[in-house]
Amino acid sequence: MSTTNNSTPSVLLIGGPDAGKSNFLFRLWLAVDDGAGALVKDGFPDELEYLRQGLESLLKGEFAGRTSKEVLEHVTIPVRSASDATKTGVLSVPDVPGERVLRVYRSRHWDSLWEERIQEGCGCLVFIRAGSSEIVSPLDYAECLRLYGSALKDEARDASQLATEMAESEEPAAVLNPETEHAENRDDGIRDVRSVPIEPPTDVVLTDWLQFLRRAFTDKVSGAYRPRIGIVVAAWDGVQKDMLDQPPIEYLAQNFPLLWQIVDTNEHSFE
Amino acid sequence: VESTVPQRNDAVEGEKLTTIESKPSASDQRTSDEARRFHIGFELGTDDALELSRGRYCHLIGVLGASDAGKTCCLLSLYLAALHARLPNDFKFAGSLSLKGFEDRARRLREWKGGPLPAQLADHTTLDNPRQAAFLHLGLRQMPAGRRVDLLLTDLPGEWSKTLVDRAATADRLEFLQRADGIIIVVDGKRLLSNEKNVEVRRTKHLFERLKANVKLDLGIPVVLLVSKGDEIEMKLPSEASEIVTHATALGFNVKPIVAAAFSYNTKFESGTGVFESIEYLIENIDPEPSAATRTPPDATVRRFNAFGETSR
Repeated sequence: MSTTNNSTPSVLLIGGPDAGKSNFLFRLWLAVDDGAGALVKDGFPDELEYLRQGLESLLKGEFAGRTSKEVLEHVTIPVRSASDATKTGVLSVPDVPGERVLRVYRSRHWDSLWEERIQEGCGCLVFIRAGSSEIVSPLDYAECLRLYGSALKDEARDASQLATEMAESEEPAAVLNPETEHAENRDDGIRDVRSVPIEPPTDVVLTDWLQFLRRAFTDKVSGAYRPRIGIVVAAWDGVQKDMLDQPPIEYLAQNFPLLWQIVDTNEHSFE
Repeated sequence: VESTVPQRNDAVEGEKLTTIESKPSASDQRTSDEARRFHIGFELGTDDALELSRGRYCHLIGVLGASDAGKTCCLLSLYLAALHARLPNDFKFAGSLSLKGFEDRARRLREWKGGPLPAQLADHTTLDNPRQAAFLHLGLRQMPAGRRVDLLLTDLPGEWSKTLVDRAATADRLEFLQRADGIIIVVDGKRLLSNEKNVEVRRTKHLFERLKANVKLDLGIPVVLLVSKGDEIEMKLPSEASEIVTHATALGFNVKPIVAAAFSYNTKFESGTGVFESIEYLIENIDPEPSAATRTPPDATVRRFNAFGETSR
């Protein structure tokens, strides 16, 4: 932690929609407010409404609702060490809706909200909510064969023929989210092959995000700086029963293998 | 069913010509505060590849073959193996500047557009570009030792291989392959056993001849003759493939035939068989002494690659 205002340490919460970022934040505030953990509050946050409302939901036994897609909630909590009152700082945590995280993946740029927080001392928490219906699975060999069939063997085949076969298939169509890039790209009269899942896999999005962060830290701070990255598997009770006794890294390896690999192979880049 | 996909344009033979593209939506593009722009993630042009190469040595692998030979399937199969941590010999995914490009190709969202195919390797790609003749990047690390391998895999229209055979003048656009660390030539295994086998064998032999005489490929680099759709030929190397290898060897090439099944319909064979083996063969057999041809590049594109190559080897 640092006490200087121009380098307030930030923790970036990164995750797609319904990843559990906000509920984590409210739980964090509850713990800091109660003073039972290693971090305790060092005064009240200037803006408390967002935290208060979220915490009240939790205290009523409800999960907080989805963060607004457009409204950015920026939480700052003055904290100090429970064991050493001289160690103080400000926890600066933007609560960014998951849609914005997806948007950065698609548009390949981010705004000053992210850029300003890329600094030495900044840490990142990547969120995955176990069992979330918003998690998009990656394609695998079997899925490709099911979706495309012999089209994989014959690149020259007419795409309309493929679409007809897929439409006649009894396999359920993948979810077509109306907010995706694809659905919005229809004004040219072109429609999508309806069964192809068009949302990017969550594993791929989060992995690319780690690459974005590495690039930004290298440019702004230095290539030698290893940002501290945590991966939070939220709603652990939602994992498959046979995973409950396994460590979270095992869950990651089995369910988010790309993210797991890039973490495993880039120890020199991330702490 | 309504017409749910764009109609194929038959103007260019043999390529997939859907015009679906994965572009950022209007809301994605809406921004008044763009503080940092990242690589577009689709594919890398020569400028992008050069920039990447400045940081670490990249293995450039040329993937050639006819339009329906299975080049894209091989690239996707490699991607899916990496995506699911199924690469053999402790290789793991370590990063990619074209993750979005792989993903969109896997979902058939980024295919060759209708109309003229790209005529040259792209220098630089942007979000607005359709699929370009360019590179796909895949960074791997072999654990636990930690050896890093960065692959730059060409993603070229099959038409380029076909027209190279037909017209020597088109060799110019492939001269960047003089910097290649390895080449994969994909041939359709089923065709090698069909009544078109003689055509396929002759065309592939001619491709090797063009690569030597006109592209002036470095004969010291390893070459894989990847026989695709192996699951449909019991993963047995057709004698026709051996005939091609014999011809290429006589020309001076160092060729290893590998039967592959990028996506297997046959439960006896796993999808991906032979694909990574081809890559691994190439990176394990890199020529440590670049030939004179590599050191005297004929054009600016190659010079830029070689300038890096010489300082980083």
